Amino acid sequence: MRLLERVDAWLFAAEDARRLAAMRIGLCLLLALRLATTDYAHVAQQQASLFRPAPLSYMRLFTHMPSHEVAIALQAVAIVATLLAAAGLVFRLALSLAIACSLLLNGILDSTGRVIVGDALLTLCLLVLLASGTGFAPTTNCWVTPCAGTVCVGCASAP
Amino acid sequence: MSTHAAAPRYARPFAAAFLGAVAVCGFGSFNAWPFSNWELFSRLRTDAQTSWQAAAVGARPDAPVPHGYRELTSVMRGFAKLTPAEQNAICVRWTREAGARAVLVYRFDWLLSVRQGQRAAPPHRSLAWTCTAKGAHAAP
Repeated sequence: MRLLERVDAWLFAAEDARRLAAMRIGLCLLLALRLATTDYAHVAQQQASLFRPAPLSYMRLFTHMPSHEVAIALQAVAIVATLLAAAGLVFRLALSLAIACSLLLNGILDSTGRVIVGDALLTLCLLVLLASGTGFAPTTNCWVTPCAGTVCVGCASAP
Repeated sequence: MSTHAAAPRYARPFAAAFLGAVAVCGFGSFNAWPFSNWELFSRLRTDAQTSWQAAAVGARPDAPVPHGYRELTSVMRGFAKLTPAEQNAICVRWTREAGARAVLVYRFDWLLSVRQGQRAAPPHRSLAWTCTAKGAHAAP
């Protein structure tokens, strides 16, 4: 019981809002960089017979790769959404959109017969960031004019 | 301010589900991306190795590398199990995109245990498939 309490206290410890904002900005900019420098459209137009989603992949919902144009559009939307999230603007919507697009784009790469671990860790970190709610508008304020003291899981509950 | 009181209501269920998924996929070898099984170099490898190479015959020198050539090895690993229609579709596409008369797909087999000095002995090369604009033809 004592161990569980210690684990709980470690997982949900108070954190400085500026450090959380720095984490948000860093992770989002890293995702934006990955999205901007990866060529998804190259494999997007592969024919249906070469579409090989992994056994446990959400890409099994589709029967073939998206078109070149769809891949480019997803990439553009994802980059803009990620930059908005990095700035803390409409954070939840922006990061949700960025992660959704990123999942689809990485799913395209993973459906060529080999699952690429590549961005998995970054995506997991972003899921935690999204769930922690560290990007509410108050967090942006924290970034610009830091809140006093420390708060738990972002500035949303800060006084 | 109590840290426990400040955590969102869904934080603990989310953390439990998230860590559970990471642990189950990692230890159970389930590759449900982005919950990876982190299988980078942990696969059992024997000394029998296989590789594939494709050669375009009569291709334009400036022809772009066809999109279908990506991950040739993973495509060829299951190529023989595809339906003839799927094999033909892939082959026709490769041939056309390479601007070639034919695309020859070679299989390379070698044993790491057979050494020539510090290196493995040269692989045995065999023609496995011939792709033309008409379709796929298995080598005899």
